[in-house]
Amino acid sequence: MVSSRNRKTHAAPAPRQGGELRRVLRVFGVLLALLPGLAGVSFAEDWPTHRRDLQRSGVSPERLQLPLTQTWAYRSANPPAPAWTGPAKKNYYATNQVLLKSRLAFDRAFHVAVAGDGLYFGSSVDDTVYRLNPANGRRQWAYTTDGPVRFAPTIESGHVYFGSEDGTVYCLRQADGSLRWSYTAAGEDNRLVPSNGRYVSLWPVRSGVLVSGNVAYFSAGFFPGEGVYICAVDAVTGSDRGANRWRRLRRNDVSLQGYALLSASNLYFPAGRSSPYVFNRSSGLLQGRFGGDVMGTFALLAGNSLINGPSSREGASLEEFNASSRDSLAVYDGGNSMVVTSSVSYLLADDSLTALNRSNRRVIWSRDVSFPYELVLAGDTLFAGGRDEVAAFDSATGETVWSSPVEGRAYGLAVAGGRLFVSTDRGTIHAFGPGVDGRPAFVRGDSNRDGVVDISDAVTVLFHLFRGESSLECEDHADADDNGRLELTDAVYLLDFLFRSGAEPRPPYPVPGLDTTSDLIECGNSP
Amino acid sequence: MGLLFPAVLPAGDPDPVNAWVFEPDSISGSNVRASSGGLDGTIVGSVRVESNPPSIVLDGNEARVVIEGADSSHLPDRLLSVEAWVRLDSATRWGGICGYLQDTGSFERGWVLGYNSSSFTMAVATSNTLTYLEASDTFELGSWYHVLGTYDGSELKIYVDGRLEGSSRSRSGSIDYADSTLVVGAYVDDNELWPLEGKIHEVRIYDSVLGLSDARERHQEKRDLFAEPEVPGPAGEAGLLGHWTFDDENVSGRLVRDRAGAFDGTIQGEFDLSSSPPALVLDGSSTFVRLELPGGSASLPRRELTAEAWVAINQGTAWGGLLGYMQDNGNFEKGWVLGYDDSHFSIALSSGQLTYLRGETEFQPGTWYHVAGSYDGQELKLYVNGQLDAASTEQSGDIVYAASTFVAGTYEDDNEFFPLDGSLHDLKLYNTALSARQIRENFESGRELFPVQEPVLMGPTVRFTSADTALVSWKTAEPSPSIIDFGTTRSLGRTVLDADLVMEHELYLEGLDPDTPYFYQLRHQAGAQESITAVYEFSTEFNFSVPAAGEIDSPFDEDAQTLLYERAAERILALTGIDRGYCLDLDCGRGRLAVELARRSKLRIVGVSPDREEVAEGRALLREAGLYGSRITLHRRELRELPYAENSFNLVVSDRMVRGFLPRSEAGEMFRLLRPAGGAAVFGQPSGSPEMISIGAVRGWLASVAVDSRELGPPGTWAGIVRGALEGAGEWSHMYGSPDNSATSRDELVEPSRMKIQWYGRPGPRGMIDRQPRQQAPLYVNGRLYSQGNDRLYALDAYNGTVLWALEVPGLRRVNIPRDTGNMCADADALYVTVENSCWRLNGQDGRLERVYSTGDGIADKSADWGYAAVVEDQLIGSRVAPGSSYSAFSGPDKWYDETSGGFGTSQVISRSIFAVARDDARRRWSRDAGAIVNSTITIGGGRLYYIESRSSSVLNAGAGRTGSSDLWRNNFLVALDVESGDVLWRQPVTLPASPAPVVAFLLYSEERLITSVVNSRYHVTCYSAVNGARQWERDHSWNRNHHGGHMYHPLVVGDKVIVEPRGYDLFSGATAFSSLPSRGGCSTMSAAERTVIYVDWDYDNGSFGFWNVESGSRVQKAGSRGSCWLGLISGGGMVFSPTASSGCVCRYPLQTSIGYSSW
Repeated sequence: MVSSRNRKTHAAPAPRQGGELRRVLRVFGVLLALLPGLAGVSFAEDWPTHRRDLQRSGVSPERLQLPLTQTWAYRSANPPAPAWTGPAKKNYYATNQVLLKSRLAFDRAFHVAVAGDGLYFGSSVDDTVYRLNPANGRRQWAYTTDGPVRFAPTIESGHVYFGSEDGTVYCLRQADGSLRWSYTAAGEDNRLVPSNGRYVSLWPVRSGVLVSGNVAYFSAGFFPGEGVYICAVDAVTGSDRGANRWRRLRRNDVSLQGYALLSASNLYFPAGRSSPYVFNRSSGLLQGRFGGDVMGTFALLAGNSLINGPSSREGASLEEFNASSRDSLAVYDGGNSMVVTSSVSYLLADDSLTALNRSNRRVIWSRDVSFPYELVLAGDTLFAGGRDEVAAFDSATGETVWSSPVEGRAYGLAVAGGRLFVSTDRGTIHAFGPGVDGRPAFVRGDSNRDGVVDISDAVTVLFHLFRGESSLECEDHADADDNGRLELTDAVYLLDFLFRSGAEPRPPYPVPGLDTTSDLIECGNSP
Repeated sequence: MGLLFPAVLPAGDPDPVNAWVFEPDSISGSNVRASSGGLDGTIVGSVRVESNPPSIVLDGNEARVVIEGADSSHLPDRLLSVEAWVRLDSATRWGGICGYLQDTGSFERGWVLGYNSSSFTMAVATSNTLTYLEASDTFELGSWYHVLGTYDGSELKIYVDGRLEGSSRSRSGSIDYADSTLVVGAYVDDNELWPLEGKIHEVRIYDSVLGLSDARERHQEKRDLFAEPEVPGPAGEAGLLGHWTFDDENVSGRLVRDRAGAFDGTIQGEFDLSSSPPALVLDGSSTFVRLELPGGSASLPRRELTAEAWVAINQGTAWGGLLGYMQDNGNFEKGWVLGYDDSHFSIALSSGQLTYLRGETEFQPGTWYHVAGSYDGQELKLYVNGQLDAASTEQSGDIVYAASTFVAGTYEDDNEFFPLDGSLHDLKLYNTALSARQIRENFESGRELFPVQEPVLMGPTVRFTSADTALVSWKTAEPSPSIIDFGTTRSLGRTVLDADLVMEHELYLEGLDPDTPYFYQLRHQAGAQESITAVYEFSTEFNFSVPAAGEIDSPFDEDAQTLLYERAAERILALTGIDRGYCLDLDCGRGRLAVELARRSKLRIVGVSPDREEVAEGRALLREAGLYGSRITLHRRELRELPYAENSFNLVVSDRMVRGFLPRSEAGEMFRLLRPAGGAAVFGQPSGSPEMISIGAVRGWLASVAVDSRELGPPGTWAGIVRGALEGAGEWSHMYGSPDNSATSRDELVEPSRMKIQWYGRPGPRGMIDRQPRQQAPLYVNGRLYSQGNDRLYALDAYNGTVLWALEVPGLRRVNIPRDTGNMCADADALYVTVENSCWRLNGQDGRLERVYSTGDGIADKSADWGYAAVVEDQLIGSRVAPGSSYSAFSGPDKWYDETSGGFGTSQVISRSIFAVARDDARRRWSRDAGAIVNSTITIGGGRLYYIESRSSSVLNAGAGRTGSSDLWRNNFLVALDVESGDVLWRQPVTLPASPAPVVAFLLYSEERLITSVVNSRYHVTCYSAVNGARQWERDHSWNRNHHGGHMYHPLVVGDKVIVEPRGYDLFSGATAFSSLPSRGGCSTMSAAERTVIYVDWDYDNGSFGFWNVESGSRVQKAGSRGSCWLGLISGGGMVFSPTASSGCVCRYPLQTSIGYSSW
């Protein structure tokens, strides 16, 4: 199972001398400072896979400090290239014609995973998995496959796992993006065929990759007539040999598309515009198929419930099943997405957000809002994605507590490390962090805005002053002594602080905030 | 046709050079403060100032406002606009609203916005001559108007209330001025004074030219200020019980105010409000209006009734309602409903049992009609556009009611619900029977709101030219400006125009958002008349244009090789003419050749190299440039055995060859991947390369390919090959394969055991017609696959699925094909589609409209629609059907067209003549009048054209374009014409099963045999000699069901057998070859290749296709998807195609996508 805890502190380099020890302590201070609500009730958490865990809960205990302010935005040269276009407008045969909902909206945006100091996403347009610095959006490495990457990677134990439309699952080293292993389910038979302007495998990986107990689970292929593979391989070596490792080929029955789910004993695979299948996790044998009228690639496991949708024969809805017996438990009309806690279900529909009592399904509150694309819960705040806007709602009352414009439809949300990440259908990833009066808070001395104050910040200042080349974007961040000028003394000030017990940078430090002194250097609120 | 460059109207208001608003705050004593331009006015005579609306009241004696300081230096000299809000209380021979004028005999100077005894005028003097341009409509005294006059140096225009009401090109050049006075509120020069009696709110003078959209905006901006006080009007009409107008004043949110009574309404479902004309737009599935009826049915008319509606119906239905209170269960028939069916209006009313009175007028989709039904206790009448359309005396006495609901925009009772797909402007209900004159007056008083008949002769069509641009094309009968209003709602909002007067129009719509539906409307101006078309739709969801790379700078540093690569790309594209599809760059280096090709074409390029470093560097550079993936992909592979689909690349080139080295592979591997039927491989380099390669080396490398290469240089060293068609490959050029209707491609390569996916993807379900209504089959010819969507066309590369082009064609749709013929066919170079009264020839490769063929004397001749279409050698064969005969409705359960005889949609479409035109010059070759030709039987084979016709006088005399009469199946003949000359070769009487009347009747030709399959509870299969019509054999067998298409399978030929499901008969003897078929399901009909039958398999839950080799008996199932309810699976080119055809199906099979299967 993917761990949800932040590993930043463990990833920091070991101190080698007294000055460095102080630096590490300072860094630790900065990290703590980045955690909102310092009263100890919240933690900086990872979001290491789509909807944070392999049950796709979309729930994080992390509490974000509102209001948030955009700290950076990544813009792809081209928007995402989703696998499927929309369904027919209506079922024109029906007497009661309703608008049909897409059952296949799994790759409308570049969904992200965030772990430690890396943010990861795959691109359906340029076939590449990127690692960005979550603090400033700068690219750290890129790895290009032979086909589009439609699903968010899964980060586990220092590795990045993802599948590609080229028919292969990749395991990269988290630190540098180098290839650890790759696995092509179709082996020598793998063939690339034209599809929507690209050459792609007939056995693309459209389940995401689930990693748990040193096993990576995934499917390859969705054309039943061509055969569909379901695989469990060693997460360290990529081998399908050994106990609980297997590769199964099924013909003319299952078709698998959508983020897969994992329980203690089973694997649940959404089945494209159809209804999900369940396989035994140990053997890979098919246990059955969920029935009913609800279909689509939205799926989550909540306890022993599987919730699936967002489309039925009659229109939009989610259906809840007993995950073991596959009996239907409830139907949620109009639902697009859902978040479930032990006591409350939050249902996102086209024009509403509703809290339901988990045991009796009675409405606790309901709000008429139009944020139909994605819903996650962080601490006691719900975040919902809309068209050109993202918003936060108090989970207890449904009241809107924050909102911000974004570029396009917000299909992807992630909360990690004190930040909210919003992925849209324009290919933009927005990062929101703590802010004051609409301006992003910063830590003085963090010249390169990588989230820590260290020697690289002093180097950044020196390169900027004397070589005219640096990643310095705001002089105020680098003005360590806050004298209103960026000059050599700022680099010296920092080095003195880091290595010679000098004074710490002037406020805001170590708690992120705004520059309260009046001087001539100011930063805008865009990166 | 000249290419027109659109001029988007400027955003925002232009600033006037002088303006005055006559409101209390701007008037002090006799001084009128200018709101713009600084020239204050002085009131002469007696005026009164009013505040509601703000205005000065002029007495018509001498009152006026003189702008003292103004002389000609303050006034525009070449571009002029003058606008005013004015109300006239009396008319005079000469009248001025605002002007600077001198008009004495032949001395004519200046300008004046004014009026005469009936109309507003705009006058401008140039070259010492004044022209008075008069508005086309007369004004009404006591009413406020917005009047705008403009002059642009060559044309005078006058607009009244946002409408263009006149234009003149009598004047040109600069405006002539003489000393005079700028005056508001009078026509004044040195010897004339005609003061205005009335009110003026505002006058503005511009030194620029305002246009139509400005006029409309300016009018709309203030019209509420001058709205007439609420008049008792409708409520004052005798007997008016309810009056609902769907405009801004009477619709608030979902609430609709009853202007006459207490029957307010609530709009249900999804709806939209359009503004021109004001209307409720109903979606055909959820929208209707529930009307309050506080007193129940007792509140409704009992003795006499009139119900009226202004309506535009997009699509008819079996039972349609506009306004009614109805309960109709079997013999329990109460109430009344003003309504319609699939093609006609109706009034139904019960004074005991129901009379359903259907009108004669066939309504046209999207066109506005005034419909009224009246009942006076003795006679029921239906009026359409003020004319009596039908009458009945079957009912008499009081109307009887049962508990029901009072609704508008739907036919509803307790077990039926048929909502309207269309628009409602206005509804009225009276408790008296209006006279014909009263109804005609109601029609006349309302008709001005609605556009006159569309002036468009052909089109519009929409094609996407880039990621955010669409090109709209259409033809008009007379020259006019090109104007399009468009937007993302039916209120439109954006305007593009080109003022040039042309008959062939092209306008680009730019800045379109992705994945967004748009609405658009054409405006036509001829003289002072403006008319508008229906509101059409297109969606950028169907924009498959390739991301442009032409403007992207090469990511490679400019060096000595730059020019080399540029020349190489240009030469390759020029030599092959291939500019779209997939290109394989063999040994691609870092992708430099790929970049230059991408910048100059629509190609998607896959580069492959064995060099890891080259690929990594190239990928990084291309990613940063935004080209990677969107246009170019680089793969690292050993070149001896590449992983790509065989026969799939349109073009193969080599970057390495440009650099002067042979690719590190054998040519055979490249040739294996090259697309048949026109795929080209070109290798070499331009001259000037530092590392030259010899033509001998290039040709030597190509020599291993079984096809001779061709030397293509100079300049440079080039050789190439073009791959021909696959031997044994078939075609599917017509609805049922070929004009012989045998439903086979005769493709010898299709083999079930080797069937695999060659490509998949677009087009998806969104743009298709629903799977149910039995539409046109896709076509395959010469490497291209044509697929018809919902009023749109797609052309795909058959071997790799590339969308070659897409075209939106409103009015294209044809359904219920088993009772008609298909509406498209193709030859090697072009696609032919029938659209209303013409047939279009579209270039197969790029979709350009190359020629328009007419059923009669040009495309202005609307006396017949084009029915049947086939292309045979150099002739295009067509048939004439009555306008509107073909089916196009596809919404609702009845549009499955699955009924047996007598049910909805079972009428057969019939042609009354058949003809041939020359394919290349459209000249008429021959034409043959006939009886009532059953369209579904028109067949061509062996140099002859065959059909079944009825000479039954009742059918012929009816003159209808389609008929459900059982007489169609009497007095029948099987006829053969010489296809070259149209001469009758033979005519044989045939006896068809007339009772029960056939559900369908089909005819096919094979091996000089004709097979008829006429189906009525049994399949009646008869074989005739195609040479003389002599009957050869006859068999029959029962249908396996009377639903889900089991009663209307089309026959097909496999080898020497004819399959009429579920039987197979020997074509020559009629002996039973087999009596059962593989189990299969669904509502579709089968198709065939030479040895293989292709069908929808039984597994409907998973969806699956079945392939059955009839010779070997082997069968293969491919699960995952399904086809349409008619013929959606075809073969040709060695492949089987399933363009998405299951649109709208909500079953849980997993895939809805277009698929090409190959079996090599």
